[in-house]
Amino acid sequence: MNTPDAETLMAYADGELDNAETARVHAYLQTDETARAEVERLRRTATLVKAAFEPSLLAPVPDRMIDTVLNSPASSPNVVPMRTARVGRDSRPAAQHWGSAAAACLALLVAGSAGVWWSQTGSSGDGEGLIALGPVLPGSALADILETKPSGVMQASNAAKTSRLGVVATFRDKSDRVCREVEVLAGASEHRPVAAGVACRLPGGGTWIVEGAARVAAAPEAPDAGYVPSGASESDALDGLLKILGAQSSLSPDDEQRLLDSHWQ
Amino acid sequence: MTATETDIRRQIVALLPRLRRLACALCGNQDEADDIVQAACEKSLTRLDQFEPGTRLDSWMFRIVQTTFIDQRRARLRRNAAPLERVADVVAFDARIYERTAARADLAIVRAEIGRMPDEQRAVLALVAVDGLAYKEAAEVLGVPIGTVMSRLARARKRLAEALDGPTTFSKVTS
Repeated sequence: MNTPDAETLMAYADGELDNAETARVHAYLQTDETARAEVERLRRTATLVKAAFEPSLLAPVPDRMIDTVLNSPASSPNVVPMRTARVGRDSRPAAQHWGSAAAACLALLVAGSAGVWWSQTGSSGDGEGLIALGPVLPGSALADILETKPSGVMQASNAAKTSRLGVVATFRDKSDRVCREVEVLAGASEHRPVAAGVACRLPGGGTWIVEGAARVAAAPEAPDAGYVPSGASESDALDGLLKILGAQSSLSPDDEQRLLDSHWQ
Repeated sequence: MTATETDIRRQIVALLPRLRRLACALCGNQDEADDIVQAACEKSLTRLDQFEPGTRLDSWMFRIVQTTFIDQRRARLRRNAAPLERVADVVAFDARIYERTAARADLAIVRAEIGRMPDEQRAVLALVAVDGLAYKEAAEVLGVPIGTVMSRLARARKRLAEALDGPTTFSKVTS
């Protein structure tokens, strides 16, 4: 047989090949010491990975967890509206339908959490209007951030520095478009989100489209610096949008940087 | 509560050790893993009607753990607007068991390298190498083709092998 490729050797080492293939690879291995060593190595990594997460290293299962599973009620009002809002949307390509995606989110919000409003037109005030639904104006602060800045970099969104804007995560949606989650923070230094949204880049061009935006309710002063009371409802709203878009895992910083370097090609 | 529902709940309890181990491999930290599993259990109970009897409960729960992990990570990114800690920095296992064994260093390398992997490679590794799912089962949990599972897994394993031994000498690995 020809030299098996890396994935075939891996499948052999993991016992994933059928009998005929297993026999072929087995016969081949008698002739190739390097491939034999590779199989050994694959088995060793598998053993180590298993050992690294050996269940006996974990503390016993917490009682509250068992109690939740056995005794908590079968449905919670927080989740039901989300499911209702999603009916019929998941199969739909998000690409040309940002309007309907936003409508679905609106339904989600009406039925679900309070404290966040979806804005069709953007709104006046402390940076909230920065993330308005629809195409992002080229040359605007938002366009610059989306096109050129890595996640985690917050920068002033206007000359008066009354708010800051930045990307918090980059991911691909179900049609493989690059999308970025953005957040607007009030003021020059504190961490107080006033708006958040998701923008996706149209394939082929440099245009970003805001698929959904949420304005975060003015919350009472946080009891301590690390706690943002409005975060939960903002998260719920964005999570609904992310589900509709079919968001995949966030890209790693390295993968994101590669896309930035190649101008999203 | 119907008999079937009670039965499913008991089966989920029996799955808890596997769910926690999976979550731990995904996030690298036991406290966070327990939060993920707790949230995943709550989520699963609101969707018990969506579970199709006769299909695999473990795959169904794994999928919920995996999506909960992604959701929580996003929520955390949103809250912190800063890069996440690397798993290597936050691993909270009791390492005493391995204190006097040579394996300890290897395990530390393995955990650190898993923490540096892209989420999608780590997820495949957690399902196949940690939990022992077949490639096909992992593909079903993640909703990707089996070929994708294999290529992600091969990349993850190659990374681990290189972290342990230096660059691989097997010439066909890139093919």
